[in-house]
Amino acid sequence: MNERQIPSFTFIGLPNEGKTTIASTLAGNGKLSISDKPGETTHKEEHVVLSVTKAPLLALFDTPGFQNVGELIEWFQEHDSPKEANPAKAFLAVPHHHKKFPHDCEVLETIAEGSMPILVVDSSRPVSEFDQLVAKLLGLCKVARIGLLNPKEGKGEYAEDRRSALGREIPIWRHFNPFTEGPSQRLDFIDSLRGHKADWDDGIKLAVRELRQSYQGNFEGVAEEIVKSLKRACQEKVQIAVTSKGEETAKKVASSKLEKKISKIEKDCRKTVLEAFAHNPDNWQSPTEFDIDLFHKKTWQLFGLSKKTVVVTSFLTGAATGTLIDIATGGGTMGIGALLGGAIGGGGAILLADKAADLKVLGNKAGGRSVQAQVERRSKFSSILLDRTTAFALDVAKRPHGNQTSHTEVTAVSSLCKRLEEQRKRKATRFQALVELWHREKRGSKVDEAEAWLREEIVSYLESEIFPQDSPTNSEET
Amino acid sequence: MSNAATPDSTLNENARIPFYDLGSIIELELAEAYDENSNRKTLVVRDMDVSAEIAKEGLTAESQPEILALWLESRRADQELALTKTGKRIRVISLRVGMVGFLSLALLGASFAWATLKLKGGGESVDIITFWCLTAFIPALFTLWAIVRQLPIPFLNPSDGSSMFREALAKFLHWRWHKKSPSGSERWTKAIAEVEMRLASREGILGAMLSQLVLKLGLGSVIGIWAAVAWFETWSDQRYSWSSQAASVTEKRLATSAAWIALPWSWYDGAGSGYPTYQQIKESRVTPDKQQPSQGMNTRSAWISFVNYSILVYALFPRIILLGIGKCRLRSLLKRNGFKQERFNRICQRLLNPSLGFRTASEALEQVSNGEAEQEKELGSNLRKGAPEKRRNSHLNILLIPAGFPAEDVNRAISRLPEQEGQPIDHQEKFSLLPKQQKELLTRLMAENQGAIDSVLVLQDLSLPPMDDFRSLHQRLREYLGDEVPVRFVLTSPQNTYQPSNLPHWKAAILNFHDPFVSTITLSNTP
Repeated sequence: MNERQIPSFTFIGLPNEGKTTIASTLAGNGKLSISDKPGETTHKEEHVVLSVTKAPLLALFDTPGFQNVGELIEWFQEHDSPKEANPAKAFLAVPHHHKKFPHDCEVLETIAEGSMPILVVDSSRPVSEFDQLVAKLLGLCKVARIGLLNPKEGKGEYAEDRRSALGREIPIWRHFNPFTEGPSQRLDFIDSLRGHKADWDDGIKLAVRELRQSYQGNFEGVAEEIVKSLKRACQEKVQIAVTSKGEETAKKVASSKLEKKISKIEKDCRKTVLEAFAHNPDNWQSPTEFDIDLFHKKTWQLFGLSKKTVVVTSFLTGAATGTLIDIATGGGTMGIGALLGGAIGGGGAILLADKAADLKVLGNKAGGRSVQAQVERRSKFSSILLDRTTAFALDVAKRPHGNQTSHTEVTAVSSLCKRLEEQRKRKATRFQALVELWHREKRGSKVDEAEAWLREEIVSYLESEIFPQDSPTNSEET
Repeated sequence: MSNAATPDSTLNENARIPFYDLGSIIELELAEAYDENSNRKTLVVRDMDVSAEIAKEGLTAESQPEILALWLESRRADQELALTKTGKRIRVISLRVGMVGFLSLALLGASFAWATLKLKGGGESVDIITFWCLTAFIPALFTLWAIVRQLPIPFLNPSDGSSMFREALAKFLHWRWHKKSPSGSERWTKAIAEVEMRLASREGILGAMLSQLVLKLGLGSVIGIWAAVAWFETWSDQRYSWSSQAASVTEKRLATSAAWIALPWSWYDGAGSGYPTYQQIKESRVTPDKQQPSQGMNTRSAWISFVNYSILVYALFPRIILLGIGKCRLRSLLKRNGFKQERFNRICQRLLNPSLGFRTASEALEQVSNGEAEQEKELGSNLRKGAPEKRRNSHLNILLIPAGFPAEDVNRAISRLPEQEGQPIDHQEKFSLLPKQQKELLTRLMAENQGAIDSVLVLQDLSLPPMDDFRSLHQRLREYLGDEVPVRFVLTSPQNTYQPSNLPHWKAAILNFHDPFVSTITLSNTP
């Protein structure tokens, strides 16, 4: 038998039992094409789990479903002999078998090469003769094997029936739902594969450790991207000359352009997050709430602002220097300020003088007029963006790779900002201070330190949400 | 069931084929697919009047297309189905495509020929070789291609040649039906999926219909060209000339070629008037010394006739003949493949042998409204009572059950089968997936019943998708039962594990058998 150097497992079973979904989730590969249509997998596919240094750790094979169980069983029974150590290899040695049973040969090839079969069964349907024959076939293959109960779209109500009906051929069974199990369960499942082949135990242990480290690396990469995007969004500016269409039109255009730019920053950030966790951006379906426009009031409500709070626009007029507008999202007070400002025209400048003093007023030198849009520095916008990006990153990190079509409704979003506030008030203030520094476009060690702090907070947040059992942050905080 | 219909017995050569166009074919399939998922009660009530009409007209099993036409007419009147709208829309679209396409191509052909004459003419003489090639030779080549396309050459005309048309049609129907579905019912969705798949088995008929349409469009372009040429030649005194620098193109050779081309009409209109002679060809030649041909009226007339006859004989007439042949072919295809499927045989048998005796539809409907549950009970018991009487001299209906199928689910399925099938089961057998055991079972069954098995029903577990084992089972059944014993796959699943997503795959797998004596029954298995 050509024993494989690294631990190798093959998911086998009847068509449409969820083998590809399981392989995708356990291999952490979102690029696999998963389909409801049975028989979509026609060739075996190897997924190698790599270490941080790209060394192969674990091989997982996705295979087509068995198609000719009846005929296979008959052949294996006829050729069953104590002398034959590798019956699967003997079956494959018959030349016409590859033509007659192409899918079945794809499955048996991996078993013949020493990969351990994991029989995947849908535990939401009763045991059929097919299941019994497939289990029997594995017994006739004379290899170590385990069973995996996948509840698919049901509740897995036939799990126990299966254990008892197929227990003679498959003594060990594991539960795994590739549609809901997150990273923690993924690692637990891989870890549970130890104990079947002594040679592989160390390899599996190493794979779990490396995968855990790989998550850590991903969290750090994602945190860096989020901080970078936040900074860009806070510093983004749009300047528009006031034309004959009037100031109001110019303001609308400026606001709209700024919104588009910031949305683009968020979109780019999301793409990087998806790629970091090896999800396919083209297939990704976010919960509906994440697809709502960033500037839609529903988004703001979702992230903790009251219904009355909407994006308001305040502005100062300056005939000589131009006009500056803020997209202010400061809540009630700011809204009143803006309304008052609007009501008394130029008087608004006095009412909002303390805010305006901090802002750079950009404009045309030759007495021309222009408007400039920028995120208001003391608004809650930065918190909203931070919350939304981290909540998205959390969803991505948690989402099993086999689950490409999430229709989950998000009713309450876990908020990093709220967490910061709850933990220590000063942490929230520190974030606001960082936003202030970004607005002022300050550079230096103070900014670097604050950014490093925010990155750590994001990493710690993701860690504690995804691996709550071994989160150092949690224990430290408590 | 002594009158088990086979394709040959149900449709003899003299059977009258009522008018079936694309819309009717689709309507027929949809009505059947919709009925398959309907309940027996509704079917019986609807079919009462049709059975009465059949008896009145004295139709027999040989008139299957006519019986189906009557049945379809009754379905068209059904408000729930709204079949007429669908069929009408298809009919209107195909008519519009045909008419608008015909006129457009006729106009295009005419403009093309006119432009050729004007451009080549331009006040001087028309280059007759170019003109002939463009107006007669090229259309003739297209006609030749149309002829080749009609020939049964697998290399040139693969059987799935109309798959694009079929797919386009399926897309249209999908869009149309989903838009107009009656309250988006599951039955309707199933029927749509069913018909979309059945289009695949209708490739031949769809292909023939498409080819008829293409021929009509081609005919339009040829008529356009011919009309333009005729008009131009009548109202213009344009002269025809030719020139060539090639040494091989001589007057003599051209005269020989013209005589060969004119062979089909030379008996009617000979040299000098029907086609140009050597002398006339020589007169028409333009050389560096002679820029204007010295052409008499006879020469011009010979050239005109030559072009006209060429268009008529090589481009127009063959297309008209092809159109006629195509119509006959379509009729023959309809006769051979249109109505012989097991699903239609069943409908005809049901209509020819109504189990409940004749009542008017209104009477039946009244009864239904008086108490649906009682009616259903009555119909069910009538069916059970009526069936053995009819089957006294007939053979066996055998039900094969997969070995691992839960017993209570088998019982539930069996209790529902007569409602769908109209015939009780005589014998049940469990079958294994192992080929040897299947062969033993079939050998035993054939021996016990001396080969007299009337039909076989095979329970299939819908909670799993179809696998190659299923294909092998079908092959084995055919190997032992013969090619013409109806086999019905009863698609059901253990309780609460019904997977509708597998249904289309089962139906597709069954269609892929290309076995006209195979059909399906879908049983929902809810308590």
